[in-house]
Amino acid sequence: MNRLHLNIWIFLSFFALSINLAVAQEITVRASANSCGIGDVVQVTYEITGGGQISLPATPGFQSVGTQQYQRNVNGKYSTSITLNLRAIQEGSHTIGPLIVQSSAGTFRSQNVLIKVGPSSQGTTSSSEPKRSATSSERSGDLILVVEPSRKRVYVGEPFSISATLYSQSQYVQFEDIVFPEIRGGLSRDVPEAADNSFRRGTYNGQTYLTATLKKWILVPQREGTLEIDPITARLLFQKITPSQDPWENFFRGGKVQEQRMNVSSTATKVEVKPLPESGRPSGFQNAVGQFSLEVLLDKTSGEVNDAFTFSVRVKGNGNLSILRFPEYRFPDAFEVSEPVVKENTSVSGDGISGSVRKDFLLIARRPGKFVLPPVNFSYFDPKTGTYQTLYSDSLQVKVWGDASSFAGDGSAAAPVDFQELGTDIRFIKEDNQVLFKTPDHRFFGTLLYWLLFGFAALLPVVLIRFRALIIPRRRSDSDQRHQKAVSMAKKRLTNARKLLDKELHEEAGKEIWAALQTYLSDRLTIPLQQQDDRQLVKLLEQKGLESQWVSLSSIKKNCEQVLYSPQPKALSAMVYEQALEWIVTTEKLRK
Amino acid sequence: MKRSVLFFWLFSLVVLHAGETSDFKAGTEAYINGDFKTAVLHWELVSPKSDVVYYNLGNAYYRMGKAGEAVWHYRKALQMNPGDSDILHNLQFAGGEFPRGMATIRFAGKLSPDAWGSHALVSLFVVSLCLFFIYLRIVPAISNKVYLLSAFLALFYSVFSIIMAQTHAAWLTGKDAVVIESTEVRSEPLPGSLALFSVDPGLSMEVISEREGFLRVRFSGDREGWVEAAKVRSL
Repeated sequence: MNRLHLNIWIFLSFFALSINLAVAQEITVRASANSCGIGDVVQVTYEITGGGQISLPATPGFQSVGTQQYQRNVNGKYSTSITLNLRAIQEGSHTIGPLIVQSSAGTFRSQNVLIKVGPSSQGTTSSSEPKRSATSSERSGDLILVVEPSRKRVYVGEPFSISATLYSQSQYVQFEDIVFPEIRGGLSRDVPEAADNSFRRGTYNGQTYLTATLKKWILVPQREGTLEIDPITARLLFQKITPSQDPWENFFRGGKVQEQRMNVSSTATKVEVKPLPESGRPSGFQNAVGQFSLEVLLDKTSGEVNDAFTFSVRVKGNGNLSILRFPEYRFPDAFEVSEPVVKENTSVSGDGISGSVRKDFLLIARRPGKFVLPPVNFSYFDPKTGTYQTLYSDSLQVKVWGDASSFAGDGSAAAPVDFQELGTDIRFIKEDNQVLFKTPDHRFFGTLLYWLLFGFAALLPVVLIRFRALIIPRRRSDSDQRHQKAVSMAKKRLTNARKLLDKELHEEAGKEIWAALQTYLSDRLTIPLQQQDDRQLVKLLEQKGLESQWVSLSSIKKNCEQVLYSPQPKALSAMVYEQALEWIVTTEKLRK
Repeated sequence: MKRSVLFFWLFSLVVLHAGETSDFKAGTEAYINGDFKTAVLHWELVSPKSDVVYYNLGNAYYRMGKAGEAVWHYRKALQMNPGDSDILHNLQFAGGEFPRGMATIRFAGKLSPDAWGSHALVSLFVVSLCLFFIYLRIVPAISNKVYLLSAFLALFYSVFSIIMAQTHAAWLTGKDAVVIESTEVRSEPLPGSLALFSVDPGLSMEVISEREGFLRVRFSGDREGWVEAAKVRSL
């Protein structure tokens, strides 16, 4: 009975209110906080029933960080909701002036809102860093908004991601309004597939929450220093179910449903942006930061004069592709170069910006020749390794056919300081044709005659050895030489004996004569001195067929010994000399 | 009678030579004046043509924008004078490829095959004589080593000269051809057969065989096919 009574009462109240709304234009105003610190964001919301021309109020001491306007039409009743997101920038009590609506019914003004702005929570008035928003709902821990950069320290030009995440204790959350911060200090790109309003389980500060990614950006900082990311503010409807005393309510709804309208704000974050290192910076470095590869393309390598060629430089990879500047490039003077066209084909994901950027140059060949398009040098900074890298393309060759007469060289040009490639061409004709017929001789090599001669040359040693007797007379043998030497030696000793005889030294002469014969016997007849006794001499001479010589030899030997005792040594020694000489001559004859 | 025949022969030689010289000069003059067509007409009359005439003709055709003709004439000049840097430069410039074994032929081309062959022959004789002297042992032992070293060096040079002579001879008798007009290389020696790929003027190829107005050719990279004989010219 009680319950029925309550329902009727609620119904009647709504009925009365609707009548009231229908008859009068009304403006209600509420602020998310009556006091805040410098840098905090305060939401001031105006609810306007009916339509009209709306003039926004002045907001002294605050800076607008965004305005949302919603219009509703429920059962023919028209209403507008305007939310101003204001950041406190000046300390003191500030009055936010009335919002004015002009309609056919007249001019309506809202109430003024007084907000006290105190010093920032850090106590440094000069700092513009926003502090944690002082909303009661956030403190309660039921709903938390977090803005988180992927990295806290980045290089200028190094893309990084920022994600806005909601942590909630309840899955019944309805966003009425959400203000994402304006990203300053760099180029920002939204990550399209990142926004996912469905809840997952996650933890924050050790507590379990349902979490949803509201938005994700990729930011490419372009200024060094501290980059501030403003907080997100959101107004949402939050349903909390608590155990109820009513068993029916517990059974059907799980408990008592408490619906709360909340303003939630995240904390502001800072990212430190480091400058790119000066050391090792290549001279051709522009602003590329990331990991890249370089490709240089030419649509064709030859053509006629006045033909168009497309020269493309393509940089592919992951990094600050959208703001990438290409290196300076100089084409040979023979080409007319039109304004290049840059084509970007990139995609943004949570990891950054990837894809390729292409710069197309349209070249018009103006004179014939063979030209070299110099290599492209592209330098970039790799934040992963913290070093500069330089990529080099190959030089490309272009051949341009056509009549050279269309090209007139500029003779007035000043002499270049260094060699400057102006063009290449064929070498001039030869004006001297002295040798009218110059074909290398090829009439002898490879013919049968040639190979026969070649074979003959190869076999020449065999031929020479075979017929060497005909070419070089036979030489005397070694034994011949030895014998000749023996005879001459004996003769030498005999000559010596002759000299002794002339000096009347008969005894010495006799000895020398016998020594001469002994030398002859040992060297010529190979009878060693120790075998030269009478018995052995007879035997050996017999073996050599000289037995007839033994008698005369023994006679000579006897005479030699007798020279000493002879009464007439002169006559005897002279005779022995003659005998010895004769014996040698006779023996030589017998041996032949 | 004999004397008059000899006189006539000598006279005709002088007249012919004078005619060739004047054609050469006229061609050169026309070229310098920028009249490449006339230069070609004059130079084409010079017969037999030297490497210089072929080279100049290549230049004139290049100026006329006829890449195929230019390359063919440079290749012809190169065949006669393989070491000439001007010919090589212009051949490359006109878009012609360096023939196979260019590095070797640049050296082998410094002497004619006959000259290389003679070197090989003489070196081999030296080898034989050195070996014979060693056999005879008519010299003291220290000289034997000198003879042996000489024989070895001479043998090495002989083999080298033979290779050079063969290289140069193969160069002169090579069966290469150059594309004169853009054409298609077909799978069969028939006009309507499947076109395998197209070739641009100046491209050179090796001729394998011939059949009724078609040549079977092989390009670099071992690509083979049949090409209309009228569109290419053999060297």
